[in-house]
Amino acid sequence: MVSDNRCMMCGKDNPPDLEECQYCQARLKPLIISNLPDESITRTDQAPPAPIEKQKSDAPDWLQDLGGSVHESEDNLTSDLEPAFDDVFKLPDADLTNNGQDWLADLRVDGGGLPDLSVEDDTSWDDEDKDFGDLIDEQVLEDRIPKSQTDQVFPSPVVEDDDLEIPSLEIEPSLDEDAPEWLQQIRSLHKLEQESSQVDDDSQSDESFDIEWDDNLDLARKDDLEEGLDRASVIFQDDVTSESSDEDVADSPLGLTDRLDNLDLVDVDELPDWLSSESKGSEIDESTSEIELPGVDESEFVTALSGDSVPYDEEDDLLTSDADHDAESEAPEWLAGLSSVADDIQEEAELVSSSEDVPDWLAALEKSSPEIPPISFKEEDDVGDLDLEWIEEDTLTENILAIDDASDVLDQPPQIDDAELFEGELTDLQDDDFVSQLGLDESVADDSDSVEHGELPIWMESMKPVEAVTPEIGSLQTAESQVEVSGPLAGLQGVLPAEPEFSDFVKPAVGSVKLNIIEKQHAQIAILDELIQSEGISAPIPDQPVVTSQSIFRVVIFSILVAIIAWTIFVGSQSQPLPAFPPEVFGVNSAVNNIPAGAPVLLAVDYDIGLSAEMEAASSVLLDHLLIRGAYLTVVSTTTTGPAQAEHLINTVNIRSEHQYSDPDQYTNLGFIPGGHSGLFAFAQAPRQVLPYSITGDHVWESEHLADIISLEQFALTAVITEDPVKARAWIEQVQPMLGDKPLIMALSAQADPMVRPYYDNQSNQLQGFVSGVAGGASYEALLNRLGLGRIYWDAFTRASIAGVVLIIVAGLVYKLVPKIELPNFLAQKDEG
Amino acid sequence: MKFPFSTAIAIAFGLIVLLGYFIDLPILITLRDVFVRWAILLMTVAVIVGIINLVSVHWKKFSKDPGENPYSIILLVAFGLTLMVAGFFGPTGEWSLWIFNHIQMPVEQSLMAILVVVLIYSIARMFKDRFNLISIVFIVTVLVMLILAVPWFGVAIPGLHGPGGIRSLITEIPAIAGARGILIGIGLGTIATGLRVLIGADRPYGG
Amino acid sequence: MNISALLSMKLAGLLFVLLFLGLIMGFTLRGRDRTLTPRRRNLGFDKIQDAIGLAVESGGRLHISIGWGGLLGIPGVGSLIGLSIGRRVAKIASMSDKPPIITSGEGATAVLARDTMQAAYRDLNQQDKFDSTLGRMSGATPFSYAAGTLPVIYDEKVSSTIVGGHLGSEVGLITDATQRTGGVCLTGSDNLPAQAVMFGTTHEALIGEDFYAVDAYLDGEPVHIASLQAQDILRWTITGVILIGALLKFLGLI
Repeated sequence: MVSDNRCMMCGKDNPPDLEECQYCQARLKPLIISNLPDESITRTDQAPPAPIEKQKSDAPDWLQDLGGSVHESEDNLTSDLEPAFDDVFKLPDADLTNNGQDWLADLRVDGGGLPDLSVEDDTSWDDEDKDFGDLIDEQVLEDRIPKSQTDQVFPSPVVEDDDLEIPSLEIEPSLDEDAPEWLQQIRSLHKLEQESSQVDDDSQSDESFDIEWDDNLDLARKDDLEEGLDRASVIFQDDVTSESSDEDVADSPLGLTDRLDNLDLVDVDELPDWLSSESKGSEIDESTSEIELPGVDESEFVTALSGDSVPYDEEDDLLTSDADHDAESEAPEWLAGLSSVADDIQEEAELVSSSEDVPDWLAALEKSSPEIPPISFKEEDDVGDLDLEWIEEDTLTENILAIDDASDVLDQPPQIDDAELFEGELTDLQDDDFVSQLGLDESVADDSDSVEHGELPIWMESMKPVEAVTPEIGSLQTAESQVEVSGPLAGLQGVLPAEPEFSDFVKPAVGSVKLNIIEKQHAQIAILDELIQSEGISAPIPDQPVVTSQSIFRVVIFSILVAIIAWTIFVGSQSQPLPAFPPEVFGVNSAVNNIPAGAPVLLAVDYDIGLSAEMEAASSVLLDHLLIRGAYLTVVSTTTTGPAQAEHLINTVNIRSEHQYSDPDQYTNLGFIPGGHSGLFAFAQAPRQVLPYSITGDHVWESEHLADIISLEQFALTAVITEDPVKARAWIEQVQPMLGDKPLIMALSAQADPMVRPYYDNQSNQLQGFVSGVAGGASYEALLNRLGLGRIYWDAFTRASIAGVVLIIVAGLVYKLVPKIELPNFLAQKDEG
Repeated sequence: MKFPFSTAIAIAFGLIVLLGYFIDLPILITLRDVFVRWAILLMTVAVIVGIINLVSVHWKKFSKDPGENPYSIILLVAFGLTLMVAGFFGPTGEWSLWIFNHIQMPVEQSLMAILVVVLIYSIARMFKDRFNLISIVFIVTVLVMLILAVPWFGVAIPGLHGPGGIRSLITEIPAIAGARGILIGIGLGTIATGLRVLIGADRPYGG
Repeated sequence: MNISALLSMKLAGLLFVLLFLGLIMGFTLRGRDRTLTPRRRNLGFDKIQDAIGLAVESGGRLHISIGWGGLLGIPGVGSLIGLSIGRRVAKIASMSDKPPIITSGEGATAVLARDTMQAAYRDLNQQDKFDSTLGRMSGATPFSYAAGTLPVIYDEKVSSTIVGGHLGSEVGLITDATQRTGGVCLTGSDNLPAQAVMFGTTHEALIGEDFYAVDAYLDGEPVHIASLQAQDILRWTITGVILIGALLKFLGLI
């Protein structure tokens, strides 16, 4: 069973009437309605905050990338401090990382200790800081909180240039009168403390600093300042009271808000320990005496703020050393909490300072001011003298603590001379941009004519993300100013409203849709986008140029060859000497001359049509010779077009040599032998069975010319006309053994010469002779003294061969020596179709 | 397990023909001759089937998109006309030979003429693309054989042209030797491929 | 040639074939785990693998030309090699949007080409993707076959052409068309004039018996490797016999 009054800090049950946990003194019941989103409360109650890495991973890339060089160092600070500020100032969860950057960026005061949140001044940062500046000013201040909203919630006092003057050093009585009741109580207690404390003589200048400090505070915002100070104090006290730092940070908002209202309601006796100790002037351990708070006098406060006068060892031991953990435990709880926070700040500062990616401006500052100068807001001081080492020295924590004193000093009359030193700084602070950045409305400025404007310390202002604190402050003001008008709580102030406050809650800041992307990421996005868009789209086939150098070369080669051949044929040139008679031609001539007149001759026309020109030049003279001898031709072919080619060849020879050979009296065409080599082998074995009819369908084997032919060896001669060496081999290897002692001659293409010649040269005498190509035909014609196609083609063939050699050499050298042939534009046009 | 019926038939017929070629047994020779004639008949039918396949492919292309396949309709029309002419006048009839002499032969001879241009161009490109030792040997051989095949400007140089010349030596010795070596390798490869088909290790057919 | 000489030649031929068969079988049974020796490596085969992968990735089509050699006789072996290439390529490239095409110049091989493609798809259990036009006859004569193949290369977005079969010098038209379209062309043939043209027109030409080793390089099955080993042994044997015979002839001993 869940108790109704369970402490959200320690988880222990408490009596229902208690408002504070009896174990951890944490506030059990909130006094004001928290503006925290429900999810943040749930997160606090149910689970510890997610690791920063996890939260960062949930953030967009641009947020994480903005961390830049201080990414690592910010983790520590963010993990410890940021949830506290986040919850207090109601930062969205997704902005954790960014908030840390805001906070840290504001701590990196440009040129010194004065944080200038104006956009214009950010532009003066160097490029490396530009990312931070963009993030902090443009993204956060402008995008996240529209200016109109900030003006409404956080009205800015408009300070005209003409109105720039030193703020009134006179603290008007109305100031104290307007102060909340709790603050007046604190002040009264503090005055008593001051009376009992001793003032050191050397603190005169420090006192002046305090006065100056007060002068810088906008008196009109004094209440807000004090509220913020107290809230910060409560946070730190909560840190002390909790053992788990994570839980402290997570729960601190609630504790803060609890104590904030509690201060208004409780009696002095019910004040927290730190206030009690303050009022009682509790003794502080000597180790912490140098930062006596809140009863410390002004001189010590300034000393602690400057950091110089505080011995580092002592201070370090105070805030960070484990050896002093006992002493820390003996210290007041609020001081212990500060120590833990200061540790985190110190670690953060160390990481920042050790980071290699420290911006140039920061590195320059670190070089120029290796030691922390005392914060002396004098006009002639160079703001660049200040650097972030005051963070490293943990004086930030001390400064935070010293704010309590600063609030006390508000009651003291400032020194005019000292206040004048602030003129320069005030000019910056009262700048329009700065004011608008704070979101102060003109109406408030008008109302504050009679009230001196309070001013937050610079570091405090930097710690407060403006866009986050705006709704909180508004809600706090509303809650405190509201007086219950009905119900049992009528007349009380600061009562939890019956209705949630979201009715008058400002509209949540709308995140900017504009991503802060670096150029490299732009390029990567473009590449990725291109890849995605190109997916599924077929790569277009590049258009082939209509005219290329290749085409031109081909046309040139073709033109030259055609021109030479056509001119030679046209003029009928026969000037080229015929080649000598090769022995294989003599073999053919002898074989043909040896056949009896009218003897049957087997003629195989087995060449392809494409090579018919060469084959006709080589074979026409052989056929002419056979016709002269009066042989009876029996034509066969192993190609499908062979019968038609045979008819064409015979007709050509008839016409050219004036023969009158006709089918079936002088020759017969048996047609196509199917089956390739196997068919040829079968025909060699049984010609009558394989080709029983002629191509015209006649029973030619019964004719008087073929009646005695049973096998191939009964043919007087077998002549094969082929361009294919494989076919030639088939005839020689498959058919020639069936021929007996009858000769086998061939008319071949020049390409088959090397493969067939061995059959002619060997001792087996498988081939009695052959005519090879145009040269063989021409020499055979010369031998027979006949004018045939060989002789007609010879001159053209000779000249075309020489032209071919020249073209190969010239074109080859052009390709070899000229890297790339550029064509004229009109030739290199692309084919648009 | 499914019995590879077609493979068994192929192996059996192949062995019978092979043994019938080497062993002079009458039954083997008779079977060999019968099977070879069947094969010839099948090849003849296969030619017809091939022609039908050719026509059907182009008919499908034409039916699918007539505008994009103009060559298909040309082929179909030419096939129909030639089939009618050759069927009516015979394969060696006057009009059939007219088609052969005036259409088919010029077209194919023109392709051969284009091939000459392609070869000259390809050899010239070898200067740029593949100018290595083998290519140089190839190019030099081509040029020498072309130059020495014909007399230069009407002059036949003894020792270069004609029988006993350099060209004849190249043709009769290195060319023949190389060709023979290649043919021996081709012969071995042919036997090996045939044996693999014979034992069923290779089945380039569907079974 | 008398009968005794013919019988002795036939007997020698039979013994040679039996020896070849015994070597193939023996190497197959003995060396099932063998792989190709580096000496046998050929860049052309690697290019075939690359061409197949390139065609599949680029969405192009593979074209296998098996020539016009037919099935019977010496050219038939080249056609069988081409069909074997086609079947293996079809299995690899069938996943492409554009399945490979086999063209033939002879009726019987055209029928087998169609059958081969159908078998490849059947093996892959993708018979629904088979199209009867993937194995086709493009011409009845050598040059008409080449002429009929050119539209396939130009119009059907062929990115790579593998020529494997019996072709003549007309193969130059096919290789030239492939290169003009920017494709890769790998060639091999049993015909010497075709080899000469292939060497002059393409970067990768399989010369001599390398053409018959395509199966071993593409598949690497033991029987194919054993076949290559048997060819090596017999080639060296023949070379030795020729050299010894020439020496004896030179010495006048025979």
